[in-house]
This record gives sequence, structure tokens and C-alpha cells, in this order.
Amino acid sequence: MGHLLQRNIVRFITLFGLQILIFNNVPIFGYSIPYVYVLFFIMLPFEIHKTFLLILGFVLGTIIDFSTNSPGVHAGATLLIAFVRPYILQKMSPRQGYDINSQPMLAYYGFRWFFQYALIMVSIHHFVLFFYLSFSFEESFFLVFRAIINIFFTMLLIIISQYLVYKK
Amino acid sequence: MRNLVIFIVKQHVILLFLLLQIVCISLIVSFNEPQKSHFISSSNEIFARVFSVNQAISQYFNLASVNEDLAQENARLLQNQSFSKIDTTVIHRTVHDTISLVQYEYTVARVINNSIHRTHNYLTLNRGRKHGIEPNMAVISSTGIVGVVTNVSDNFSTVMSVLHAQYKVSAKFKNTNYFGSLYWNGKDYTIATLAEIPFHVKFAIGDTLLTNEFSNIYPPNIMIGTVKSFNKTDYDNFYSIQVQLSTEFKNLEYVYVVKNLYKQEREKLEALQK
Repeated sequence: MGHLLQRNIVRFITLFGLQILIFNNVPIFGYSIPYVYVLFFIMLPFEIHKTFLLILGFVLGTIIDFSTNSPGVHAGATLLIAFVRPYILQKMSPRQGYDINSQPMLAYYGFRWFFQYALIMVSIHHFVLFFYLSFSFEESFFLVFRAIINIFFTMLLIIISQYLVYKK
Repeated sequence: MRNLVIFIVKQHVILLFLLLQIVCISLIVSFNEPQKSHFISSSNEIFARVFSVNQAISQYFNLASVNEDLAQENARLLQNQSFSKIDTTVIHRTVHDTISLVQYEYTVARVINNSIHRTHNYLTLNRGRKHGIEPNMAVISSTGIVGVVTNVSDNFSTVMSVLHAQYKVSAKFKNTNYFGSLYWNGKDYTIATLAEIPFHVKFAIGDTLLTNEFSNIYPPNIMIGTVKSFNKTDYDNFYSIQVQLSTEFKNLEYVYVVKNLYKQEREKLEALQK
């Protein structure tokens, strides 16, 4: 258990550090800012308590909001994925359930399962995020276009990270 | 009462989710009133310190172009000096009272955080309350307008850039003085849109746009940009004009914060009409 906690703290520092110091400032092709910190929520342990997960979603989203001057926007999006995550995992569970010692990673459940799961999480996060951003913005079609490009790059980075860093 | 407690305990996950989501939405809505102070922003001391380290590294790579800009500006300022003009007057009786005649004071600040690819773009400057910066002061660069100060902490301040969905500034044509309202369309960081110019106004591509004093924020006649293209819309009586912004937001490094010393006097007077 202590081992798992340590790994999650290291993951938190790495992903949020990368997001705030690098990805927020280096847009790909001038438009897309991949939100890699979503991977932290994707890879949290299966058995995490629902209430704790919600509070985590709100607090960590607010940390990102501090760095992008957008109070409430990221917090709202991460809060929603924190809320729906247990239901998604329940729906997608294999017939014999999840292994006790496994984590939601590509190395344990294969490419197909992980890709579907990550895509659902990232899509929900991004569409809510861009919906909140559009509250004060006229060109909503343009924002949908941006959201789709963003989902693509975030997914790309998440999948690459699974092959490079998180081996079994 | 007992049933209510049981209900809350049973459904606490959904209730907590809804509560926090309402907090988020109220944060977003209150944020949409522009020019207001916000706690969650990068003028927050801790984040501003992180960004200033980040910027200090990249600053060295821009030294060459910054030097060039400064040299150009020096040349322009030298041109305006009295010794570089021919004195044709015979008798000179003007008294230069330099204390009461100054209307705008300029403070140099360095940009320590900058964004151009979001829909709401902000800059963070390394000058704050200690250096006399206050909210609603104008920020300009050597090539044009930049934005307006929104939040101030002791050592830092954040600036709402022209590249912000809610930002509007009054602009006028240099040659005819017709004015309209300029805002950013959210796509290209070099282009803004000028609205409210009626059909009878004559102008051409390449005409210069300057600031005026209507906002009581910017000094007059600061460069905004030039007309890039324009088209007539069918549904109203105004041109839609695309403006090439003169400020290069992508490599902005040093800016001037402008203090209007007569601002309060004018605000007081104008408040009487309301």
C-alpha cells in the first residue's frame, strides 16, 4: 500500500510539473495544448474511495487553474471525470473482475481495453473543459474543432507514455 | 429529519459532486465579469516565482532582437528631442512647467509569463504594488498596445492582453479620427477585428489605427495596428475590418506600464453625469 502511495505521489509531481512548466507553454502546431495531467486520474488505483476521488479531482483541477488563470474551468472538468470514473470502470470490467494487484494500465489489460478507457476519460474531460471555456466565447464551432485536435494529442502522449514508462 | 440524514449519508457522493460542481460554475461565472480581482490567478506569489525562473532562462535567447528593438526606439526618441529639430521661432516665450504638465508616467516591467494560444490570454509582469502598479493601468510596448492590468500583488501583476475574449479597446483612424471598437477574434494572435465603422467612412488598406482617450486608460495616439482587409456585412450598416496588430505578442519581453496622473480627476467629473 505504501509502495502504491509513493508511486502515485511521484506520478502526480511529474505529470503536474510537466503540464504547468512545459505543456501549458508549448502549443503543438500553435493550437493544441495537450492536457497530460488527465493521465494521473486515469491511473489511480481501482479501489480508491469515491469521496476521496472527488475531493482529489477538485483540488488538483484548481492547481491547474492557478497556472492558467481560469478559475473553475479545469476544476469542473476534472471533478466530472473523478465522478464518472468508478461507473466507467464498473461498465468496462472483465468477466472475472479486476485483479487485486493490478492497476489500470496498458501493461495489465492490453491495448484495446486501455485505449477505450483512456479515450472515454479524455473525451469527457476535454469536452467539458472546452464547454466551460466557451461560456464567454462566440465561436463555439471553432472550439469543438480545437477540442478534437486536443484529444488526439493528449491520447497520443498517454499511449506513448504507457509503452515507454509504465512497463509491467 | 432522520430520513434526511440517512438520505444525505447514502447519497453523499452525488451530493458532494453537485456541490463542488456548483462551486466551479460560480467561479467561472464570476470570472466572466472582466476587470475583477481573482484569487486564482498567476499573480499569486508562488506561481509567479516559478514563472520568473522559467522566463529568466529563455530571456537570454532573445537578447539580440530585444537590443534591436531598443536601438530602434532610441533612434525614434532622439528624433523627437528638441536638439534634433530646427528652431525657426524668433522669440520663445513658452514656460515649460514640467511638474504639472506631465500626464502619463511610464514604468518599465519585464514579462515573466505570457500566453497567446488560449482564448483568454494573460501576461504576468515582475512589477507590483510596491512599484506603484495599480489595477486598470494601461500596458504598452515599444511597438504598440499590450493590454490592461487586472490583478496586483506586492511584487507582481497580471495583465489582460488584447488577445482576450472579453477585451475591447477604442481605436481611431490616424487620418480621419473616426473611431470604432477593436476586439480579438480568438484565432490568430496577429489579427484583431475593428467594428462599428459605418459605410460612409473612407479608408484604405494599410491605414494606421491609434488609441484614443475615451477609455481613460491608454494615452492617446499609441499605435494599435494597420488595416489588413475589410468587408461589408449584409445584416448591419458597419464594416468588419481585419487589423494587423503592431505588437508582436509572441516575443514580448519588456513593456511599459502607464500611469495616468489625471485619471481620478476625470473620473470624478464624469461620475457626476450618472
